[in-house]
Amino acid sequence: MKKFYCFLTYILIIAVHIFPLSIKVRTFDHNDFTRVVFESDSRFSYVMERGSERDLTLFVKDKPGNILLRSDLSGSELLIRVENITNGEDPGIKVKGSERFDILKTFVLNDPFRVVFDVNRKTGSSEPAPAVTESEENQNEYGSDSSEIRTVKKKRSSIGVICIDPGHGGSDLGAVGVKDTKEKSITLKVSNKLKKIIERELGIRIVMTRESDVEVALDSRVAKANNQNAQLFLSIHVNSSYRKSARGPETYFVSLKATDKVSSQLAMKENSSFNGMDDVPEDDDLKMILWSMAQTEHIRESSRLAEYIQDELNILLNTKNRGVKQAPFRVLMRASMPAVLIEIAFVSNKYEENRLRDDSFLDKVAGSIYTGVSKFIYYYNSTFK
Amino acid sequence: MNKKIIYILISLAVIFFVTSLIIYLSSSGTFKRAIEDKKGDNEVLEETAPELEKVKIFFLTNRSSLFLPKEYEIEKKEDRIEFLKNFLDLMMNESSNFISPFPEQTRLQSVFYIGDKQMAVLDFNEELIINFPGGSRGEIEFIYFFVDNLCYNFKEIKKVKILVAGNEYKTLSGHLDLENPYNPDYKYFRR
Repeated sequence: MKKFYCFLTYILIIAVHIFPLSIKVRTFDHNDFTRVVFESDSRFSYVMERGSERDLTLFVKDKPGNILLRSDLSGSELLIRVENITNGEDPGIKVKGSERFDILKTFVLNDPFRVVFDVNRKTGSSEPAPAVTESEENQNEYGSDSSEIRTVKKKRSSIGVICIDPGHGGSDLGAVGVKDTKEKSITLKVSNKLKKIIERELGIRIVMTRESDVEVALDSRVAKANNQNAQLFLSIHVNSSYRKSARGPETYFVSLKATDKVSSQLAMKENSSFNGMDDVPEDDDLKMILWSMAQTEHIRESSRLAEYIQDELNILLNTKNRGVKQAPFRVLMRASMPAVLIEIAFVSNKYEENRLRDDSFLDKVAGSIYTGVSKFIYYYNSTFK
Repeated sequence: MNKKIIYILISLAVIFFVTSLIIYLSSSGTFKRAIEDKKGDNEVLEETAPELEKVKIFFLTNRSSLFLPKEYEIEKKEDRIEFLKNFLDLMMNESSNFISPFPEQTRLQSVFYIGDKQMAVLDFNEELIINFPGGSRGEIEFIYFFVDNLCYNFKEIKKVKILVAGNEYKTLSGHLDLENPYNPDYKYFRR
């Protein structure tokens, strides 16, 4: 009897090697993602691993032996190579990309059995890519009890788009100094400088709310940032006060409790059972109320962003004890991303107006804002990746 | 003596007497009325001897980035709206001795109090918008000069709404939201 079992095992081992698991890998580029499909005639359990941001490996569990690999990568420019690898006894298939990529979604289909990954090019940051969320894992329509995703992490896109908002413009001059220094001109200059530095140093796409001396409605500015899916919003301004001695940079993020409406909205949100806007009922008024407090979701990050920028401006302008400030800025309230308003200096102060007229000073201001932003991006990626 | 002359003298004496009597009576009446009037005035003054109420108004100065306090005593009014108007009048005129956080031509057109919302509504003239110099700090100083001072001194006011020429504006000069009423934020006060 014992010999019989040994014989069966032997036959089984031979069969596994004679009839390996056949998997076909095919890829296809869609408009905003690339799909990679692992297709097989028989079901298998799998584990997905990522060795780097440029690859994706599917290890087959409980089916030792080789994989008969066939591939068709002609449909994709992103995924360019596929190869067999092993991890101990588990055979696997590694798919390599021409660029770093994020995994958007994974799911399983049957008849025939397919494991599908949707990926897209990773933009901007050099930080490691986020993987799949637990909720997305649960989106597996057909269930994948025998499968597991080892790289489950909190998904948060890294910074790919930043919106820069040069304050005022056109007939809206903004604050004007005694030497006729116009806020609208200074904000545009600094914004253009900042745009160039960020694009050059970080490779992040910049969306400008205005690129010339035109008037743009306040609400349109933040709408543009939201529509372009910007992940940071930087509104650049020049300050003014009746107190002529007022000077120094000020960086603001929105205040939630300053105005009665926002305060009560916040209370309503805190007291309600829903956590996000997706769950909001059909009531248009309620939707509008929640829309007007879009910034509440990002208040902590906005605060951190403001701190990083303010610290850099303090160093540049040698100002001490200047913390970040909160106020109910209209342009920030509806921003659905971390958002700050930066007041570079006071044009109402004689000394600072002279500095604002100096182009090399504006270069330094843009450099300081860039440093603050890049520190925030590092923090953001390390916290939310 | 000629009889005719005697009649003339008697007539003159009568006229003189009557005239004197009239003058005396009329002058004494006026005097009496004057006394009465004076007495009446005193009585009125005694009745409405102004009861004073202490208020503390925080003003913008060059000495600090925060509003600094100054105490005043102003006449207490049964009508709290009247008292509020007097308070605002003092604020706006007295601030000329400090730094006025609003354009010189700015006038307060009207003041309302909405009891069920515990909200004061201040309606300024259009000069405020037209001549406002801009800047976030300038807007903060203007808004909180009114919001904080009113909420600090009037326990019945919990929030303040600002209108311009009877209309709701989005902002003063492109920064702080003006569509919603403001709660006080005393971080701008040095107390």
